[in-house]
Amino acid sequence: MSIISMRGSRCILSRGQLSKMLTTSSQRLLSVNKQEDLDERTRKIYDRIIRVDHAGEFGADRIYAGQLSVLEKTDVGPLIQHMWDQEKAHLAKFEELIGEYRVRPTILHPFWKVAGYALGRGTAMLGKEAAMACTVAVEESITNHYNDQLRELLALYEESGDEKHNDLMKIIAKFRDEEMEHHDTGLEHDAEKAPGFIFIKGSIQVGCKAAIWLSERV
Amino acid sequence: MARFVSRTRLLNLINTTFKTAPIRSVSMMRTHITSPHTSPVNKPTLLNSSRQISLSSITHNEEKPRTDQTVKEEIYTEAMKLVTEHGWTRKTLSLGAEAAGYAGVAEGLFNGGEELAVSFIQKCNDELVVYLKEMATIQENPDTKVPQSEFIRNAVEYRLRMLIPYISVWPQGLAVLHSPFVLKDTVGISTQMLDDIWYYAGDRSTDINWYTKRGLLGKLYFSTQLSMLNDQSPDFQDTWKFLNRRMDDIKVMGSLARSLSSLSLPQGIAEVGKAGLTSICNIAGLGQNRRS
Repeated sequence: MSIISMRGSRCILSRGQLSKMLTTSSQRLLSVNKQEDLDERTRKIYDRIIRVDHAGEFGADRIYAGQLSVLEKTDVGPLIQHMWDQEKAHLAKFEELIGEYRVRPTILHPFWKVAGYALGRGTAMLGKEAAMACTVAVEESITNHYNDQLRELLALYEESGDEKHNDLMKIIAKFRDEEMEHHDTGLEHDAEKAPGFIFIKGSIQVGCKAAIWLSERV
Repeated sequence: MARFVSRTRLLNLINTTFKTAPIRSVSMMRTHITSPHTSPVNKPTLLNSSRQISLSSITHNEEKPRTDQTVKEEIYTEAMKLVTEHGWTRKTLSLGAEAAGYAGVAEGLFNGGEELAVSFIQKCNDELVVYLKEMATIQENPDTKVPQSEFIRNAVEYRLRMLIPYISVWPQGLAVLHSPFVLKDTVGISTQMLDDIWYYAGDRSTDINWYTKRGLLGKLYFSTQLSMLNDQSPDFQDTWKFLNRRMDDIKVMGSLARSLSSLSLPQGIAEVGKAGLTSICNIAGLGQNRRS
């Protein structure tokens, strides 16, 4: 899998690089534990934020996997592959954060695994426009969700003046920008021409809201 | 003309006279309980020997501020010395309060014997975390690294050994910990302990394995703890052997899960089907009789 460079000189990780990143993070020193630097209230907030973001990126990863399983050979195949690679990098980053902040991952993980794949595959089977519509819906939900989190973290930063909130804010802001790009890409590739676009978009966004609510708590 | 008494000689005199912590007067104790944030009433006046003088306020240069927390710590320390005799009750706390130099009613700072037991397990877990951090730094060195299962086994043994001084009253302690007033705290503290052990053992799972690992460890820990309550062998050797057997079981389960996941779907179904059939035969009495 070769490295694809996209506009703005950002490189996408190849499979080899991604797996190397994952193995080094699991061998990381046992003594790295940022949870102890946080007070109780901040710990709870970070716990919730990182858990739901990890669940969200994992869901997105599975959705793209489902879509690609149907649309691999079509002309949007490489595009979906490229968006999937970005989501894989997001997922790897949140898995790293789970280790650093000792966050409990969502117990609904196996459920999102199946549901995400089914959603991706189902919309892809309706056609590539429907797949793009699904992308648009999901990415819009995720962008709004990340913006809410950024507002929350900003409020926390303004209250305490603590610099370490900036790290998480930078990460979430970067990922939000990439999700917005995916949203725009989906619109460019005829998402609105999908049959029942409003219905697909509406129902998926309701589902995303429910998934976010659940994964924040459970 | 007053005889000049040097400060050191006077200090020695006081130290030899007051060998034990003197019981403070009732008025002073009321101050401790109702307004714990004020500075101590008994300012040391060295030459006024008629008033009870607190030993600590003379021998320490700075006076530690007395808060609810410090008083509770003192009562806890004294009460734990009496737990094997009087159990996990308000009586133990009140006797402990008296031993620490406060009135018996100071036990009201605690929410009954239940809170004594909860404080005990919290303190044990805090000590365990210190041990785990030490062991984790040893693990980082590839020369002294031990396998993860051995790390966990040693951590469980270390934590269970903390119960040994109180093992005679620990069955009551466990019962008290399950009282509805403190059950939520007990569960929270226990799950935090399981997470601590796995975290310092190096677990960084981000999927359902996070839950299965802690569930397994919980089962291991609590079953070993129960076995410890009935153990009469010297230095609880039977309990550690039980622990080793449970660790072996887990290793077998782990390798089983790995071998299953490497099979294809029809093979996997066949393996599970065979296991189910064997179980049914055993239940019906047709299987082998093997006790291990």
